[in-house]
Amino acid sequence: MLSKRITRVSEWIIERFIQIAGILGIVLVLVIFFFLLRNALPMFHERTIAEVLTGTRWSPTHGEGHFGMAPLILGSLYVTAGALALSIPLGLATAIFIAEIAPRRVREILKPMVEMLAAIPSVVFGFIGMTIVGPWIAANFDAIQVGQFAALGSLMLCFMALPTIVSICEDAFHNVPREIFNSSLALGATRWQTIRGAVIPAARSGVIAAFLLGLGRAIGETMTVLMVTGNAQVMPEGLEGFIRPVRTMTATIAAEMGETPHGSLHFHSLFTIGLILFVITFSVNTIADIIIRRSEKDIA
Amino acid sequence: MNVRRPHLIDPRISQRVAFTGFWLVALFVTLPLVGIVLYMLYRGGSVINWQLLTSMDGLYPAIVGTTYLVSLTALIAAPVGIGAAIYLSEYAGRGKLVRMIRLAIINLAGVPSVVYGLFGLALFVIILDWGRCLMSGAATLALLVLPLIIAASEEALRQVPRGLREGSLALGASKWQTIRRVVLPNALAGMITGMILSVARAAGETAPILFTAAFYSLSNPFPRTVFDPIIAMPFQLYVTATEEPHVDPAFTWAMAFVLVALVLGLNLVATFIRSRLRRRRW
Amino acid sequence: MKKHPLTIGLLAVTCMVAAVALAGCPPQEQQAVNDFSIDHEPMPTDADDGTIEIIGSTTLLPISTVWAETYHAANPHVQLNVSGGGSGNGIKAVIDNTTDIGQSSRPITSNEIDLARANNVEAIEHIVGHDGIAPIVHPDNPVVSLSVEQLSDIYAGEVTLWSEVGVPGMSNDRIVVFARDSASGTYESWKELIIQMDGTDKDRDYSPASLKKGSNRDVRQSVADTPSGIGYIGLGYIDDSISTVAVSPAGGRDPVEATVENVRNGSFPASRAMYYYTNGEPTGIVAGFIEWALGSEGQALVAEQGFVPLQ
Repeated sequence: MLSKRITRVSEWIIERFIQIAGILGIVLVLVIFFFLLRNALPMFHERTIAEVLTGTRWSPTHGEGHFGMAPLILGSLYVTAGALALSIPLGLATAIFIAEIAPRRVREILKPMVEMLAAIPSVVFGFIGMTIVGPWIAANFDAIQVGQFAALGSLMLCFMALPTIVSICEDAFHNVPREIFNSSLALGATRWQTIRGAVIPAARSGVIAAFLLGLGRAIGETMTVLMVTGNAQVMPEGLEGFIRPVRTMTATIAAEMGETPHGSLHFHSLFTIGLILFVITFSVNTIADIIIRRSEKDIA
Repeated sequence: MNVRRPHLIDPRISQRVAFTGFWLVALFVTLPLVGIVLYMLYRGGSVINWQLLTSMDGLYPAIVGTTYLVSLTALIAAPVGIGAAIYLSEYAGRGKLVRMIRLAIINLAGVPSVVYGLFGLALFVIILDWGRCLMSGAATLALLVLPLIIAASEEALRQVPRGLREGSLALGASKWQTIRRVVLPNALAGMITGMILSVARAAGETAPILFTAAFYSLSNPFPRTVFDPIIAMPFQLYVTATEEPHVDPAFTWAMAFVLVALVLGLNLVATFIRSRLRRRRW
Repeated sequence: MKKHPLTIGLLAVTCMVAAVALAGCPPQEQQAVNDFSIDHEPMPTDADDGTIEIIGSTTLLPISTVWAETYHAANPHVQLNVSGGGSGNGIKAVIDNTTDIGQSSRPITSNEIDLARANNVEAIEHIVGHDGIAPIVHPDNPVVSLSVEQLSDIYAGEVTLWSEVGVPGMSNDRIVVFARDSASGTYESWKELIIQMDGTDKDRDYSPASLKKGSNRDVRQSVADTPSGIGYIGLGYIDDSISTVAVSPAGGRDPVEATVENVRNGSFPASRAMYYYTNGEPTGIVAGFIEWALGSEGQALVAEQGFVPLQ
């Protein structure tokens, strides 16, 4: 019968489509990687890798162009480190609160609110940081001369990385078997002693994974840091670097790519930055995934 | 736990102190969300009215542009994302390939949005020569939201009880028939939640459309084809906040508020649907 | 699981695509600027279907935008799309023939003229107005004038304290230097006119410690928020949130105020023309638009935006 045949053919087509869609994830990762590589490589016909990675002067339109990325890489690291230093304790505490302490009603309000922090567009965070928080800090703290600096980026990013960290930590706490909790309480420990002594250590690998994923999120954030960290491509130095303007890798791409002639060395250098970012986030996410998987296996 | 060590402080007191600390932290992390929304309303509230949303001098072109952008994004990403989710939940086993697919999807979710912008510029704008337009922007955003759609759809599919599938198969239905007639209808609401979240995400992103789609000023902001340039809300906010020379600050705040209201509104809807779904009993 | 030939095939195709993508890289001996948008036929522009595309300098953005709006209102059949992107990209778009008009706040370079010729494009220059770049400081800063040499030292990072340029008693002595992003025409003009002292010291560059801002307004806002800051903006962006600084031309002459008259008569050191570039002499609606812009109505709008009209 013809109609049955058509059904079978269309079914075959649909199932192939589903299969292709399934594989597409891998294909996309490879294609993105190769496109970044393709547009980054011409950079190294003119400059050595060492020169680019360790050079301290980024001035792509001056003379032949100076493409030292060290200030940008360090700038990203400063902002990210600051963001993690703030968001890991906050995120951990929030996750403990949600998982173990909060009454049910509070938990049901708090959880979506934290999740919704992730939904606020980064350009809005940047706008608020740039017009309100930055000027306020500069006006009230003498050490900070200008309201655009690395730690301000960290502060803004901290809230943006928070939902990721809270959700991973919370999952980790849920994976801790209830027997541990109950037997600790049965031995006479208070709930706080139990959380501190039994639950947190058991969830350690989840916390490490949260740290890594938060790092991946913070290092790749663009619009916020572009708007609040001042964009000065200096090498940040010591602790003072946190309260001075810096420039991150992502901000450099966003600020310069729109105005860079396609195909110039400057264009390729921005793709090189993109490639570095891709490699960093890829490694961090992969390691985090391995850790999460291993800990799930341990518990199972 | 160090039970043997004599406690310097009564454990109950230390618990009280610690728990108070946790309450404060919880309060602190909700502060930005509530604070931001209220502050924006305070600064921009005076100019928020129907006129602002519907006039050509107001936000209308940007709202239309963003609507086109996210609709096309969803149109591109939905079939692929749902297809991938069906593959992972219904067809794939536990082999090495599936492990690799999952890892790839996790990594796609972790690619910085500005890197998606670079990729979109290299592939869609330059190589495929679509130019800076609606299509290039939507394709770039589709890549960005794909992992979100896959994750949400897969979760929705997994919540459909195994018994339903087995029943259908036992009645002689083919695998695809089972998926189409039994699994998908039951997973639909969950998938729609995922779509709403993706649309919200796409509506708020700036970096990916910076070099692929958005223009600041167009005589005709309403695209006639997918290869026309557009005006989009987050980009408009960025330019208005940093470039536009003579602008009423209240207008900028109102713009930020409308953008946040749109994105949070979509998220609230999704959260609501999801909480209803979780309560559903099979 | 069962290995599907399709799966393997798809992965193989990916690898091939990747290999081709990589092989597409230019070998080392080829010219340094590998521009794949030159490889194919120039994209036809839209002028024939009633749309004029204008792209380039953000300095010209307010003028082009208001021109576009006014002109479109009077001539509804002409659509105008205006976008920024920086002077370099505006000229680049003319060279690639991907725009009708490239707007730029600096003249085309000889290198760019050669690139255009190689592409069979003849870039025609239209001066559409003038602009002065005024140094600005926080309103509380007592400084009234600075010489070109002092400004050059400040921006090159040779001088970092206000007391070194004769401004004592600042609550924060360290100068916070704001500049524009590297691809903006203002960045290049300021570098050449001030930092390199009208091109006499070609090796001088911005200090990396200067904060790069995406737009004139961004610089103005930052200086208004920073008591020890200094920045520079186009005349059209001056308002009372900041104060302007008069500039003494190189060689110790009297300071010149950043005013419309001084820009037009050329006595203000940091002044420049603003350009439209087209591929060949403009025709049709593009010619009509440019003619209108250079006429009395268009130039009145230039003045209204705070720039300096041609006459």
